[in-house]
Amino acid sequence: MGVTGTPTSINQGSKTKGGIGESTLRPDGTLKVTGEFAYSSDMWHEDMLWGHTLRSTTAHAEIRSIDTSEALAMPGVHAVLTYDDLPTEVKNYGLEIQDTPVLAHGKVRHHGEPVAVVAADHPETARRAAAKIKIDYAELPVITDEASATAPDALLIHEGRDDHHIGHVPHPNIVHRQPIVRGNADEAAERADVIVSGEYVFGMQDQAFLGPESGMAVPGEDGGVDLYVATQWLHSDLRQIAPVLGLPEEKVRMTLSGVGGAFGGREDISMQIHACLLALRTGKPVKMVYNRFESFFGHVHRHPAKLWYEHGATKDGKLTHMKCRIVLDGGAYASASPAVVGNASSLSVGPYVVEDVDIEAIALYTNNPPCGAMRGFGAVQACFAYEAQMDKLAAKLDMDPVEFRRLNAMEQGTLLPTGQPCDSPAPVAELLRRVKAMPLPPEQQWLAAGEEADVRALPGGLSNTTHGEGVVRGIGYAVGIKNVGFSEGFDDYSTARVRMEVVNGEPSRPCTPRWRRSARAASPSTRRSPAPSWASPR
Amino acid sequence: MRVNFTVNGRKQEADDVWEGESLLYVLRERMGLPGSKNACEQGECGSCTVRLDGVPVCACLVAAGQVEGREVVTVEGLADFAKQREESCASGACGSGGTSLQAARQWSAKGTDSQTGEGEELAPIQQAFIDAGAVQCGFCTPGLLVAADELLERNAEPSDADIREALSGNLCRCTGYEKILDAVRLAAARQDRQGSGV
Repeated sequence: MGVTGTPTSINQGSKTKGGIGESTLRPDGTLKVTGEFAYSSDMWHEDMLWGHTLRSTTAHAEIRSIDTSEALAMPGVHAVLTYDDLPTEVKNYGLEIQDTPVLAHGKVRHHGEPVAVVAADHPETARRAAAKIKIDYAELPVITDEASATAPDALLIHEGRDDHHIGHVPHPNIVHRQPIVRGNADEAAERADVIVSGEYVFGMQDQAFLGPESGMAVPGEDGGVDLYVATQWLHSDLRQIAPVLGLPEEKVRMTLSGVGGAFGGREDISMQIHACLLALRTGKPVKMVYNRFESFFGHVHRHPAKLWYEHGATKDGKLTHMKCRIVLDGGAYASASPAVVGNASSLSVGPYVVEDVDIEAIALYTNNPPCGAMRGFGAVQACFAYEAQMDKLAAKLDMDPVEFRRLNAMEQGTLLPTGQPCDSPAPVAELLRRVKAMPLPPEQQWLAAGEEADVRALPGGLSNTTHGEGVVRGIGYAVGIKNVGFSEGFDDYSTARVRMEVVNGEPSRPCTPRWRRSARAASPSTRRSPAPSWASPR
Repeated sequence: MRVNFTVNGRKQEADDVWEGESLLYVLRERMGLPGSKNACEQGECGSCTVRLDGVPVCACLVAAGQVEGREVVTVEGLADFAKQREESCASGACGSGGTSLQAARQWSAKGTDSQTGEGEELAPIQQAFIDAGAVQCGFCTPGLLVAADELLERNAEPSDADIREALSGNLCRCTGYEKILDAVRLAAARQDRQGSGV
């Protein structure tokens, strides 16, 4: 493995005009500043219907019955689909484990799980029709944490698991377990002058990308479907969508629409399959757009976690060992939980040199909303805990917390807990030194500023909740580690096609490929007319 | 119900509007103007910011019926709006605002490259957003542009505090705020240079 060299400036310039590394303007910039860039929620077709999802109002329940008759009878409603309407034998999908039903069957496993979908000629009609679907739920006890998930009488969130992790977990309500042991943490602990342990609780977070889940499915004349959607991974979507539609992959033609942010939240399927099902059933284009409320149900979140850590250090400030146990709440469906477990465990030491470690990370199946990919992907939860530990250790040793971190900082050549050597520059100590050298804002700014101060310059001043007098500022330093690209040795590669030409004996740059305009221009299905003649549903 | 109002200098009429529809929905789904974005639809994020009789508002919080007889400017009309403002300022009628009937009649779609938008005439704030790298996923961009343009209209030399205050109602989840501040500073500086004839 080659070393890439130490960057000398923030922007790596290119010596060749138009060459690799040159800073260029966004190819889609003009479309985005004029409002012309076609995001997935901007699709429009004069003949289109609106799709809406009915979601469970309870976290764990048997479904005794579903009555859609009143919804179907509403004027303007074109279709109401439940599990019984799914077209083929394959009814589940999933990123890694196919455990997620397209529509709930027999039971719901989390609040917000899709139970039925409606297509109607106005979004409000679709919403009102969905509200008329009657579902008889029989509540089941809920599983919310490790104790309830692994209790002797715990219900299984998924019965009959046959995925490839089931053989390596101590309980079927545990999605995946990743232990890492290197050296001997117990022996190393005997060398420690101080030992600090603590339990840390990390809450759920949401990507909250600005453009909500949305897209349009257009039925094709060949029985297939054209799907325009904002997603992070068209190919992975396709592998999940085609089987549950009962279509070969070549009949599900996917086009990437404008993506209004993602941050991990668009790795999983949201409205893709539902819109396709409705389009194929009604024979009309179907547009689905979640509102902000539904968006929080529509994608996976960052795993909440409980983390227990123990560190030891000698009195001259060197870490002796680390033991940790990280319990991630994966919620009702697996999504990317196995990979998040891998990241949490393999990055659980942080950017520090610790030779003797005893690590265990698990993800649970519970009745909480499903969790999966979000920026940091397991590394963030661990960082929160080990950095709190660093502060506690420094305090106990009566050392400066930044100096303590610098003493233990990893660098090029350090072995990670898995035994992998860090083969590229990792100037952690230098990073800490530079951050520490930065000037701090004045203390008690609102007092120092005096009567004439511009309140907007004071902490909290712009949010109009305070002019700074109620803001107390604390100062802390923290550092974290995150892999670039995929984790745990995942075969991660990229490809590029380069064409070189010689024109008049000189090397010449070929034409820059044109930015492919997204669906609005590419598809006849998204023509717009300024004032569509459209009948009110009432 | 039927709603009549002016959008980007052109009279528009929307029929069969359900009373519960927002201005945002009417613009996006009935007028073919999806530039104003449907991000939170509850007045928190500013992505749907438009000018209503000159005042920046969240189009998601304005009921369609409330715009009867009024004037709306969206991101799609921002370049024309800025151009007319500049022209009316040059002719000494600065601040009169509005679109003349003649100007409205002369409106036409421009011949541009539909693949890249190249050749499109841009407002100074739009160009500054591109040049400063203030556009990422772009979903917050239309609202920020309308809000920033309004700031520069009333305050040609905004301080950083002025910019932060004017844009405090607009969220960017890509967290590209520094570049967005750069873009507004750049537009203000270019405006200043133009004004002083440098």
